[in-house]
Amino acid sequence: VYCRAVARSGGDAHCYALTTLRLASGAIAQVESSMVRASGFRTTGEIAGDQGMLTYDSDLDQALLSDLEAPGRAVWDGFPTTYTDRSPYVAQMEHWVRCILGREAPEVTAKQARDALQVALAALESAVTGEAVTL
Amino acid sequence: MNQQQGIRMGVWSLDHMHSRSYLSALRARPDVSWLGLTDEHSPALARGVAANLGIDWVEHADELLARVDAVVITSANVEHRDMALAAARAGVHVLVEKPIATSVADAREMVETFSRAGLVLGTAFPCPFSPAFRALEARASAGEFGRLLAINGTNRGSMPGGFFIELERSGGGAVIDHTVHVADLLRRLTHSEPARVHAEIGHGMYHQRWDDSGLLTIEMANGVFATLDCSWSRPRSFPTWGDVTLKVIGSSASAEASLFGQHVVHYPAEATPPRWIGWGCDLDALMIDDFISSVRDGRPPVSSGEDGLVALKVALAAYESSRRGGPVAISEID
Repeated sequence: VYCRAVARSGGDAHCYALTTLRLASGAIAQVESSMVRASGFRTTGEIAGDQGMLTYDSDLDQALLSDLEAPGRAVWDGFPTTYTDRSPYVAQMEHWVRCILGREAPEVTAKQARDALQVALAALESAVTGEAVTL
Repeated sequence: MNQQQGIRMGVWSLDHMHSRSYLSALRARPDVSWLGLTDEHSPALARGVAANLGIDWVEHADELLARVDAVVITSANVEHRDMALAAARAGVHVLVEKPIATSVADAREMVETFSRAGLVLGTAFPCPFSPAFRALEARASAGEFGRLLAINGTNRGSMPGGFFIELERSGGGAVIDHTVHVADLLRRLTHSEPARVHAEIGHGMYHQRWDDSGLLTIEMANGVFATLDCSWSRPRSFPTWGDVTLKVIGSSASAEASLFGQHVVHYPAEATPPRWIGWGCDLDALMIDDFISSVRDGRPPVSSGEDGLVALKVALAAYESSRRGGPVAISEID
């Protein structure tokens, strides 16, 4: 894990970070973590392999766009917008309720969350020390 | 070069595909009084290309050098040094395809030789001539983004084949091929020099000895950091050859530039993938124009041999970082 991160103005809270990773499989990856965007959430991804490539960009993937800004109204209400028959937040909660009722096992396990956190903490360590961190 | 007679130009080698673009840019110029082509490895091919363009083919490089004021070297990377030095001995100015060379020693020898001889050595970096990049650079310099903090860059492309995947002739794969453009743009954008490079280099797309992918972190002396995806990750079905993009994060604003982003989409009647047809200006022609002006006016070109040398150091530092598994200072690369 190798990471460079920066605070936008004053303070020491990073607002932008670029992290590169080498996975155990030999695959390489880059993660951009940004809190500097003025116009809300954007999620992009690209997976390139030996049989082709997948790309995604939420900015290019809009089911509904409006241009009806009322004066004084915030451009962005704080949540990413998707148009699906069920909100992913609702789906997540329903799944969680079924997990509590013992009907399903969590899609995202505590171990996965711990592993992701470990990578994030390694990135933070790299950002501070300026050296690559091996997990 | 005689102002009235125009400039006599040569293109030396067809190994690099950009040679075709440079030939057509040179052929379109009224101030190019003579244009010749030579390729000693593929004389029949060169003869055919020259005949199609209606320009002169010469069999031997010595003959080309004897007939021109300046030459564009578009050979395999490892041949750049010998060819450039031969041109210098003949008193011929050189625009050399990127990367300038495959070692710092070779690149430095080229830069010093041309400097001593009072000849122009240009590196073929067309991206600084992009109007989108120029606008980005002007806005950054005017302070529109506040203080520059970070840059997320890409120069992704399709795997080119040819000498590019013969390590003995290319000196490396995707990383040496696609690091140098953005490394050069970072210097122009930040007005600072690369200080440290960390790189993850991959072979996962083609599973060959040559590298097909790379993710570099480039830290500039003034503290701005950047990442660069220099991978040959665009599959055959991708609608264009690739991209050069820069996302610039400043203390007060951000900007994104896609230097080849202007395009119309062509959907063929056949069941083949759509293609992006770029529009805008011909960056190769603008670069050639600057090079010829620099020869005519006796001034350094926008993309000089020194620029090529610094960009090469970033690519070589990336390979060294991958070998070591950690960041490498540019000062260590020699």
